[in-house]
Amino acid sequence: MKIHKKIPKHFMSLDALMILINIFVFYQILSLASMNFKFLDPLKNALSGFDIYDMYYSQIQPEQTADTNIVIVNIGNLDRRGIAGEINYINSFNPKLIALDILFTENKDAESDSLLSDAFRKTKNLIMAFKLDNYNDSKENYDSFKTSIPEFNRYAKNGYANMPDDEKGGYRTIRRYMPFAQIKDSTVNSLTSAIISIYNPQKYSTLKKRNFEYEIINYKGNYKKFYTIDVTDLQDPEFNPAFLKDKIVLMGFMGSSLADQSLEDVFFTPMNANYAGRGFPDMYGVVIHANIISMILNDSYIDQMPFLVSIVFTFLLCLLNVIMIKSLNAKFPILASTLTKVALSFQTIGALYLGFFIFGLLKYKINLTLAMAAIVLVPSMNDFYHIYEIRLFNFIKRKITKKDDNTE
Amino acid sequence: MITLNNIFYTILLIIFCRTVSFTQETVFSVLSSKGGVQVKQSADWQPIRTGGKISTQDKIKLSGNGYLALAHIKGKTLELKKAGEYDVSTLINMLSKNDASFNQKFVSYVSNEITGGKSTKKMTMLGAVSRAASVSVDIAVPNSSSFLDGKIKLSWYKLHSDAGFIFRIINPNDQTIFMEELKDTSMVIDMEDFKVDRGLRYHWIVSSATNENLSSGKNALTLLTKSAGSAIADTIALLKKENADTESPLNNYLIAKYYESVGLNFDAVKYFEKSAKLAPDNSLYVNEYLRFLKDSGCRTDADEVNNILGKVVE
Repeated sequence: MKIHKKIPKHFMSLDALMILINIFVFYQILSLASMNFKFLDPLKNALSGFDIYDMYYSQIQPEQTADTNIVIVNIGNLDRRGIAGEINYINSFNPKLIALDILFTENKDAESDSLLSDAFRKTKNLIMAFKLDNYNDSKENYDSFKTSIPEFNRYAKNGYANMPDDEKGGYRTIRRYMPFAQIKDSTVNSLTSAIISIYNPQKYSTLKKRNFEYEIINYKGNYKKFYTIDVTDLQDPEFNPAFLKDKIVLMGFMGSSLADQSLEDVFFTPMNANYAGRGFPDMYGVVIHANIISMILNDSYIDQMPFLVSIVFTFLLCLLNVIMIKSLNAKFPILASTLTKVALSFQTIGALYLGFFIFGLLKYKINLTLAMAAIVLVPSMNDFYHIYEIRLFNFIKRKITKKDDNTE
Repeated sequence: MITLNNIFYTILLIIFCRTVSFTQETVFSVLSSKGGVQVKQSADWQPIRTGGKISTQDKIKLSGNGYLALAHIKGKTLELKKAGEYDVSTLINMLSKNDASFNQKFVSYVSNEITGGKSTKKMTMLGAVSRAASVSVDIAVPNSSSFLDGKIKLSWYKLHSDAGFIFRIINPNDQTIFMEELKDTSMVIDMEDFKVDRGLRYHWIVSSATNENLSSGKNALTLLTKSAGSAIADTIALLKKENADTESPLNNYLIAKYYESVGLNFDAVKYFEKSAKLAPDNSLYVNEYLRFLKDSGCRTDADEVNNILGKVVE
């Protein structure tokens, strides 16, 4: 078998490599620049804060199925007596566990505290939220934590309810969470990890084995994807909560009723129809927890392309584009510019399609932002290289040659 | 051989088969139910709640404020928000209509982004203003201004209802960087707290806490860069030195005009107001003050202006 030994010139050309280096240097400058060049700001902000996959959730994601393992109960503005009554009622229908996305940090009055404590005591599997405090930057762990008062907490297993401080990703925007955290030398569960450890120890084991500091949340939807009980539903004599049997019951705040909007414990998520932090926050904290639990139970984790692999992927994409531009310039010198723009537009749409398709099918996240930014920069960097850098290299080359001649 | 036993068992079998054939299968479960939602499973309409089951022969009725979230036995979900009666076959049809494929959704998304949305001959936007009670939140400060330092007091007018407000600051990319719910009609902020980029235009919006459609719209804030700010500050210092008489309406007017020319409208309004107050009979200063209020979108009641100027303003 005859092997074709001729390697295409473009593939190995130095100028293709130089153009690629220009793109990455420019990208680094753009990411790190603190200067206020107005025309760069939208691109800079877009690259630093925006996640293109938000569009997937808000515009493309196929309709998701409901998860009937989880029941969300809105506590509204119920007092402790009211919450105790609800817990006692729910307990009579034998849920698998009750988790409270609520912190009771102080004693109130003896009677209502006693009623609530008694309700907790009678709960078969009770999980209560706590708060991580005092993050130590140097040790990358927390120094302290805050639970509910001991009278309540003694009946519960705990999980922290802190959400990541990801302001870079947008104001109160939750795209990921930490399943485990460190308090000094101890590893502690998040609220959802604590829930899973009781509900399905095998899934908990899978989560632990993944061993990621952060997990991207694969959102299923708002509370309409789960059984949801509003404040007044449990007080309605017509209501039959027999479906609570063996379920995960999550109790938390979702407004004074589901019909009322509240800014308390509510966040922006990629599900927001007005993506990237526009409009109003769309999801209560307790519903975010429900989404996380559903993701774990269904093993529908999202994996992300490692950064180095993203670099190589982008590098290859840029190389193909550089070769394409060179070929077009050589074969169609007059139309090259137009054809390049058309090709890049199709590539951008194609990259988006491929990225979203792979994300939907395999739950695998390719760094599309980096790839698309690089595609966009290829023509400019190509021009920059041919107009300025080649001249500079030739100038330096001439100087060196002249110096050598003089030395001789 | 036909025996009594055989007849008896045959009858039992027939009854059993008929029972099985009439047994209604559960098709949907109720995930969430709000407002007026009823189901007809036998003769009467009954309210339906979360956890309820909808079978093949059932009908659902939604009143105007009703909402129902359903899960099909295969897991797909459906929301009903429109008032009306629905039978199960209608619900199943609606479910299949929701099921746009990935390709359909992607194409729809890309074409909307490229074309800016679907064009239609349906005209729902009125090309005229309509005045009614509390259609918007009216602001009491200029709707656009630059600032030398970050501390700003923003204020607006009460709505007819006692509803609170939601105050937001959004960045040049339309992303919310701060949000707060409040009952007051003013908010003091320090732009430096939000790590804003100097020289870029940010916006603030205040809307009703109970009806997000009642809103002030976007109002602009720009924290000047240090270099631009210091040049303006130097000019202002010079102007104030040359026009030292603070009780002169002309001096105040000149300073106001300078502030307006460089976009420092919050400062401009104070000096326009002062110049008009000092010479309420001078139509130049009064008209300029009113003109500035109008141009800056600053809604000030005629009564309030009367009080400020101490005279009837026409």
